[in-house]
Amino acid sequence: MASVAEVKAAIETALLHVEDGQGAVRAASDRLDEARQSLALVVDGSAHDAVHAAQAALAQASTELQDCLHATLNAVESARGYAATL
Amino acid sequence: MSLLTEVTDRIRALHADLPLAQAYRAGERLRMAGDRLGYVLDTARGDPATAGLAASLAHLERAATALCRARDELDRYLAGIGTAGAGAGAGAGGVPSAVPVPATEPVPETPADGTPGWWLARVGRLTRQPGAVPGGTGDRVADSAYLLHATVTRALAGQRTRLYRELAAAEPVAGLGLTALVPPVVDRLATELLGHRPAPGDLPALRTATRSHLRVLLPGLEPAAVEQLLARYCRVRVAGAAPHPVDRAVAGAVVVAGLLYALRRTPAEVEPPAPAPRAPVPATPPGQPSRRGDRRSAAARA
Repeated sequence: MASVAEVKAAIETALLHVEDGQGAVRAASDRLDEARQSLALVVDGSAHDAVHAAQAALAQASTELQDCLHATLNAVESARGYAATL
Repeated sequence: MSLLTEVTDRIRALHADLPLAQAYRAGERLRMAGDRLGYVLDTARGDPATAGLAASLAHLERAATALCRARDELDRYLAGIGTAGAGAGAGAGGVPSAVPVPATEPVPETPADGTPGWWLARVGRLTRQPGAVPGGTGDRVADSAYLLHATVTRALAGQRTRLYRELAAAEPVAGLGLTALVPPVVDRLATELLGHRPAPGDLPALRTATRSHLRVLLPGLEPAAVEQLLARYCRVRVAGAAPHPVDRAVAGAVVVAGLLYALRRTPAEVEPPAPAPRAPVPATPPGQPSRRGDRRSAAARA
């Protein structure tokens, strides 16, 4: 039979995984920013459509990573709020 | 170095540095968190955050897809300006998922040909391929030297699916035997690449030379296992658990491919020696042709 303490412990464990995941998302986002800046310098002056497509894809990846991070923040807030009601 | 070569090298470096590994790691952690919260949901009949985590995983999946698309576009650009592709993404076999195979993935049952399920499950997980023998063949590789050449050939060509097939079609003992064959080859190739035998300070260089191949061909390989493996080649100890034996064996072959790629060499560097003449085995039917000759297992030939 589950206890409230067990549920809270499970939530805390899950939040530790979320924090780890957030760290990886931030690291990915930082590296992506560096990659975008470096690419902008290297291909400055290029009109090749592949360059524009690559830059657009990297921009989308950056946006998705930020949205991912926001979603995890909302999830953490929800989980903490739920735990507080137990 | 020409200006064009410099541009090409910088784009290749960018290509290799795109943060897919971090995306994989994030996906793995968020999935674990979701699984844990799913347990809470079932236990407490509440829904604190699973929807939020599901949304975050969906964003992460789209981010990984966009990164792969960017990588492909960079390859296309390099091809368009007349230089070789960056290699890491070529023929990689589709867009890898940002969401890793669950840790609780069931081990496939042992197929009819006798290949152990644990071997298929592990190589399937490493390569993100289904854990089953393609085609259900019973003709399996029993020679580690042959398997090293075959896997390096596939890895060098960026053929993840075919790499999986080579591994899945091998006897597990031959696969694990890669662990003994790979270190001297890595030592020789790394010495050529670095100009001296690999030392602790060469870990970043070795990481750079092999990162793309490991990431693309073995998307299920833990970054920590990569670090452990490369550190061993550089004669340095790092904290953490030793890699799984199958991971160590398979990743070693991919490291060889990465070094060959960096040196612009071919798989001929790891060509297996010709088998020594030996007396015929009575149990083997005479005249039975085999593409891989007596490097196949006796059980498979029988």
